[in-house]
Amino acid sequence: MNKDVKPIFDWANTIGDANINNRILGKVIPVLIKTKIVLTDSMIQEQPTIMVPQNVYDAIKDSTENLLATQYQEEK
Amino acid sequence: MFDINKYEFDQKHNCLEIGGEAMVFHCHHYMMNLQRTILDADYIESKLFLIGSAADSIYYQLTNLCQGLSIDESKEIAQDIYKTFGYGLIDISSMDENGIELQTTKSFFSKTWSLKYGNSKKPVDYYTTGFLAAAYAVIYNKNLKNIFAQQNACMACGDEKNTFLIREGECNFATYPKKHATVFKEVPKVSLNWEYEEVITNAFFGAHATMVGDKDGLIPAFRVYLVRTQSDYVNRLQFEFAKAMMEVAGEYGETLAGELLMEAGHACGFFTYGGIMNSPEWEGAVKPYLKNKEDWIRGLAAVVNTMGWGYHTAIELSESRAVFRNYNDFEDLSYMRMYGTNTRPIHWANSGGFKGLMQLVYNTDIVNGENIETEEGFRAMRRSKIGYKTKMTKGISCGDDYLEVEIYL
Repeated sequence: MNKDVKPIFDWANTIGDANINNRILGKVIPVLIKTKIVLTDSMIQEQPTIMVPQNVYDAIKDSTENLLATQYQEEK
Repeated sequence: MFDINKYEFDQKHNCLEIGGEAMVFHCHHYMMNLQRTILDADYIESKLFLIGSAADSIYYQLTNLCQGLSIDESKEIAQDIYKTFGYGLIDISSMDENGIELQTTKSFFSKTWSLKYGNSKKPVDYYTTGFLAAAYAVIYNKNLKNIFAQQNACMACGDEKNTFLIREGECNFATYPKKHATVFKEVPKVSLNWEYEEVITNAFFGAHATMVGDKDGLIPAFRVYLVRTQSDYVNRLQFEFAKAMMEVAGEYGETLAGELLMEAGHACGFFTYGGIMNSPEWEGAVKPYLKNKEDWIRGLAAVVNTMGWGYHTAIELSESRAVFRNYNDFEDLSYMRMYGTNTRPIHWANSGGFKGLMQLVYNTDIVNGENIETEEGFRAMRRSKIGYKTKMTKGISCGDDYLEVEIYL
């Protein structure tokens, strides 16, 4: 099942570094490569939704929380 | 014992060489951003090159500087350059044939990491670890490949002091092949074509020698902490990181690495160039010649051409688009010394710096005296809708005559 990971990037951009998208991508690139997904900063900025498999979503969420030292509150 | 004034600035190539190593200034924002970028990628065994890059450069430099000196004199030289270059203070008088257990409370890396990012979970002074390994190898005639070097405590982790252990043993960092000699690209330069370039550059020639470590071995200047660093050390960090990312994810990994590395240069451009433009030196020696925003960029280039980074010039310059060149830039020359030639430009720090400069001048109110030094100021500027794009078009390591980069909206 795919899940929209865009809200996590949006959240990260409100509190993180200016290049937080690239920092997150730098963290999860081994997972992206394994699942044959290419994400870039400009894609993240331009696309309204970014659907990814659950394992990629979890990796991005964990890495973002790790970089920002804050828990992400998922919308119910 | 070590005197920076004995080393003449090469005005023809806009560089300074000490003990066979090209030396460049970097600010703590750049150094910390670069190191954090590398450490973020925790799937790469980066400790190997974080220590190894420093050890290699310093081994080469100290081998040259300590030729014909006694053990005690060599120790003094090592301590002196460490302090002069702004890395803090070390006392290696207790170093002997077996190595050293060293403690210090003055460390550029630990201090400025905490300043910028708060506490770290792991020790951050890889540079000093490599420095001490190299000093031990040179002074006691050991092979770098037979040295174990480790930082055990770090003030950036909340410890009272930094501690290091250096001894003979299984090597725990990367070592590298012998480097090539520097080959400058001798081509005619397109100048800034600005009537005040010479007067400003002449006013700042020699000023680099006043930027040396204070009583704590630090160089606070332009509202940042500077280090005068071995160009090959800092650039090998970039090149080894990009190479490791390439191994992980091919071209995608290398491209992402380039963007991350450019961000470090961007931070440098913003904070250091901003600090220079807010300084009393700028106010007195540069600002009187500035009539418009383009002059602010030309003035900055005229100043930094005295700092050892090569010769910066602008071929086109407007708010919407600029083409910058750097003749004999420090990144390409380092690349060629250590790796030879390349097929793609690798001057991420220079290009990020040029982009930061454009953002600073056109996207903040610095020309009207706005103070833009804060981290929040940097974030606000970077998030601004007027974001510049960067295209690295030429590089000396690719066979071109100069570095060239386009910055455009």
